[in-house]
Amino acid sequence: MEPQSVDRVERLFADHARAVRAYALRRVDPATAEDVVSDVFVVAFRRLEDVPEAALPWLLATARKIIANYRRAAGRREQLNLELRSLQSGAWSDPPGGAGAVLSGLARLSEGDREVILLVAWEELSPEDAAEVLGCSRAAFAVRLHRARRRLAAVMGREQRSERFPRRLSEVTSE
Amino acid sequence: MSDLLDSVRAANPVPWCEQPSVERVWSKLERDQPGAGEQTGAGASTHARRAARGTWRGRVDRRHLGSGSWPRGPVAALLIAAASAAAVVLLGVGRPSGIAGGAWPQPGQPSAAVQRLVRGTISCDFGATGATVSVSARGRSAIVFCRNRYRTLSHAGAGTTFVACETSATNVAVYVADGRHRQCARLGDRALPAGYAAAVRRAQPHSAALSPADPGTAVSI
Repeated sequence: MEPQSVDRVERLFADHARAVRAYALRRVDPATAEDVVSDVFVVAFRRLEDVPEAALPWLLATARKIIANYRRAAGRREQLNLELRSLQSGAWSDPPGGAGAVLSGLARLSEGDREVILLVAWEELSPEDAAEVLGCSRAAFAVRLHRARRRLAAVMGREQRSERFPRRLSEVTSE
Repeated sequence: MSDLLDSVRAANPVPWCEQPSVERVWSKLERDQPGAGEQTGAGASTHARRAARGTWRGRVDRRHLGSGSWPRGPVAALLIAAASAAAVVLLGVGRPSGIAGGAWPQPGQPSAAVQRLVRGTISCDFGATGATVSVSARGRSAIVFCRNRYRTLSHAGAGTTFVACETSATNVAVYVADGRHRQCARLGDRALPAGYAAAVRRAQPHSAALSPADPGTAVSI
């Protein structure tokens, strides 16, 4: 490994570590997120020749796989703990005002649908880059995004309806 | 539909985060080294090769000195004097009982076990191909020292891989790698502790400034 490889990893880190960390923090608890970040750049260091010039999608795709590995390795019970930890101590526990319904709707989506939406909305990737993260074509990504948005709208619509109904019911019973 | 995406954007729980430290990556690379704690040459881990080629020092130079070259004149003299003073503190030179006596004053410094190894002895065991050399470590990298000694002893050093193992609390042994995993364990030794390479890296510039041409004291050959 040449010294310039070390320099390149450090440049990659300086340019993209924050985005990778944010990506991880949005999906796992803070302690795991730190591990994910270092794992991503360890992989980048070892597979430097595979890292493209526009590296962020590659790094996020690696982070995605590493998070999946963490969850697999944790096993079913541990996975539940991991998710609970991320919900309790992570960023999801303190959503911005009025965001509860959106987060709740996102949580009800399948992981695939959720990832498609979040790559665009939270990671602010272009459709091309997001497609690269997921390893699909841009056209396939567009279709997946369209379907995921429709499902999210449906889930949120159902939630709003179910919220309204008990409110009216309580109003009736209190009168 | 775009309103929906906007509301998802607004619900982003981590709109911004701080830049993490790259040091975690390098520490992880150190920890993840398979088998031995430190290897160089063909087949060695990338991190070990990187350390062996002095890129750590290059990186430190660029950060603290602004360029890869060593400054000349009075500035260099001042820096060497400062480095020497730091070496006295870090390595406990002239203070034999300083191992556990707070010679690493800052928090987050290497553990006492690592310090003992860094200040202990290095044994270069070249097996059937040559002699065994033991020297006082003085903060030097065991691999680098033994590789140089291997070349000095006229072995074909280029492309040879070495493995460093912990044989006792104060001794690091270096062997010619056999190319298989867990060589240290198979030899009855332990892999070097995770912080060893970092501690050597930290101590090495000070040690070099203190005695740049000191080959170490040969205990047995």
